[in-house]
Amino acid sequence: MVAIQFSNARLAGLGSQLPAGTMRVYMRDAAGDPKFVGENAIGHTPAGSELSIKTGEAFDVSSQATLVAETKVSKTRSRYEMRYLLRNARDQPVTVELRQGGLWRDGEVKAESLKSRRIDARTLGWSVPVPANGETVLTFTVETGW
Amino acid sequence: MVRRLSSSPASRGRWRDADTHRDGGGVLVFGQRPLHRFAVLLSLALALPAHAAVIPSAAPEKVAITLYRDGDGPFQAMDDWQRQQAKERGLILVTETRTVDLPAGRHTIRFDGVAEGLIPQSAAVEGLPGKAVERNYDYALLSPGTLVERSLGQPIKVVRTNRKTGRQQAIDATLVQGPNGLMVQTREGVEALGCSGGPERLVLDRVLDGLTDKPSLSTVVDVPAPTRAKLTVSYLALGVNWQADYVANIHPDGQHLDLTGWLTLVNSGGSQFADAKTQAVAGKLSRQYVRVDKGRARSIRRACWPMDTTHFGRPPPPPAPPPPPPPAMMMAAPMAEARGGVEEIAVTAQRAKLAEQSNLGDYKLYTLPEPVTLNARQTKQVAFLDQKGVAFQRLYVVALNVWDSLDEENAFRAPEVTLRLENKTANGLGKPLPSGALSAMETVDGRPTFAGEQAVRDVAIGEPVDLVIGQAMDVLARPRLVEERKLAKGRVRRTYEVDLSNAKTIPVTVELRQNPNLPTFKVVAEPRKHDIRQGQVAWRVPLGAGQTSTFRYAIEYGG
Repeated sequence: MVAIQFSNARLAGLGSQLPAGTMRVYMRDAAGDPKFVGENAIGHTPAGSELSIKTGEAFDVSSQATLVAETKVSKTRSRYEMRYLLRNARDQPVTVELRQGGLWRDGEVKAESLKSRRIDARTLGWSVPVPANGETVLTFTVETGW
Repeated sequence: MVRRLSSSPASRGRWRDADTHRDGGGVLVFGQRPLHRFAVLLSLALALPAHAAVIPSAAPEKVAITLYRDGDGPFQAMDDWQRQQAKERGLILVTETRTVDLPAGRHTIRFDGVAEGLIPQSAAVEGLPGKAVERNYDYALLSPGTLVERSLGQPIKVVRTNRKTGRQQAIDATLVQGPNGLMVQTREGVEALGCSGGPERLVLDRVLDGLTDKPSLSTVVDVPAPTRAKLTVSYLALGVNWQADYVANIHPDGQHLDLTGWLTLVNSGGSQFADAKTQAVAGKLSRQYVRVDKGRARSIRRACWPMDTTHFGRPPPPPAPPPPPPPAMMMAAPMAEARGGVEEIAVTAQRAKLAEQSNLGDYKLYTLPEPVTLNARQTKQVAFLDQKGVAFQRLYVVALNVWDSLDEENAFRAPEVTLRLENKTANGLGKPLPSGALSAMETVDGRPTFAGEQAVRDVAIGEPVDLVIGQAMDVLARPRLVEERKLAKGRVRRTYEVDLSNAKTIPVTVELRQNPNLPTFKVVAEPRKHDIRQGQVAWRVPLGAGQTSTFRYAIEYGG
């Protein structure tokens, strides 16, 4: 998923309220011609808000998830070993914002190849750097109960 | 009835009792109404001249189009309805260059010949000499109904023909109601036209402004000084889609293939894009649902008592207008249409000139080597990929799941013939592959033979791709459950044996794929290490020519 993010604040150059509707995003191609790159709906947006508009899906950046192992720790607790292969075919390095949902009660990280942060009780988040024309493997093990 | 009439402001509020009048028969009399309406029209007319001058721009001098891929699957895999939908939903960005001579003052510039399916909200006009006051999209098409609708309250002529003598008589009248039931005001009063029993017709002096044979885009602009302006009109429109079509020619060695890729441009609409610089965007854009008005033709309905024979129902409809003459290139159309919807395929590119690929943000942009003309209802193909000697692996894939052995009928199964590619330069590829369809060709006795077809997703450089082209003939697999044991705490252990046979004269590789979609699934015994392919546990087993073997493995799940 690719999104553009900007602030609707006066300092950022906009600073006026935007009534709800469709926002179409254009960018210039290599030849300098404006090209449509995606559209999305926005709600009523007061001046000074943050906007994040999903414009589409990346062609060159992808993730492949593998559940390596699932084991039962106790009657109410399971351990999941995950592996994510992130590929980047672009000429520039990118940072992929990865979200892992599905954590339940007492969800905890047992091991991880890159430091995670807790988005909320159910979700873990990683910012994974992927080199230009390369791949990064993220592995982690979580335990969760019900 | 009241609502319909409100389009004419002068009559608003006067027809609240319209229903009773309608029941009263064909002739109604109102004394002073026409005068009153006339006064309103006059005052409108006085306000108009400020931007009454409509400056038409008949056609663009230069057109550039950018096609966007819409939908996931290839057209070949869709049913007729889906295919129609996919073609109509496809998005195109049109950029037109037009030159107009503008005198000073406030004018309406009308852009004729814009593409069908135009999304008015997306239109932008650049290069105007002054400020644009407003922008309009008119889709009222020239038709009997719209003509009458726009001529309400205007003086017209009614021509009556005497059935006996054939003599025609023209009467001055004012149109007071239409197009659902025509009513005119004549010297004698208000009459329902066409209900008198004799032949009558309506004659108008001219076609009113704003009615055209095609929808048009217009903009009202204040021009400070006379000038010749070069305008760029750009807009999004629906009705043009594209996909990639690949042909894989498999070498006789069975390890390399030649991959040719074509951009298939499909114009399902009625607009022609002449000599247009053409580009195609690969990737998935987020889209919002939009409805477009392609213009509406309205007919006149008479609401009087039946005058034709009543017991055979309505008279037959008038014959359909003859179809427009096909452009010179479309001679092959009828035959192709009969085969199932693909109207015409014009192959324009030669191997030497390929569409050029560049990046557009996170999408891929393909630019055709030279301008092309995309005709109405035409499918055009242009090559964009020509890779020789791409290394691949041919696999015979057998899908296994825990319930297999219960199905005695299908004990033997034919594996799926799968071509596995890695999209890397080292393998002779390393090019982005936009989604579409691939047909595989094998060389049999020196002649290319069709060997199967498969959908292709968007494949970036470096990604692996599996292409299933069909079922194998001489390779068979038979999975058997040989042991099932219940372990502690509800856990189950199952041991399988898969009989494999290869009746071919060449060695093959079979890939066994076990579905792991079970709680706490684990492979506990295997003759060789597995990996994960397409979300399944996979083992690759080489089989010599004419060889049979048995593959034994065990899994545990549950508990």
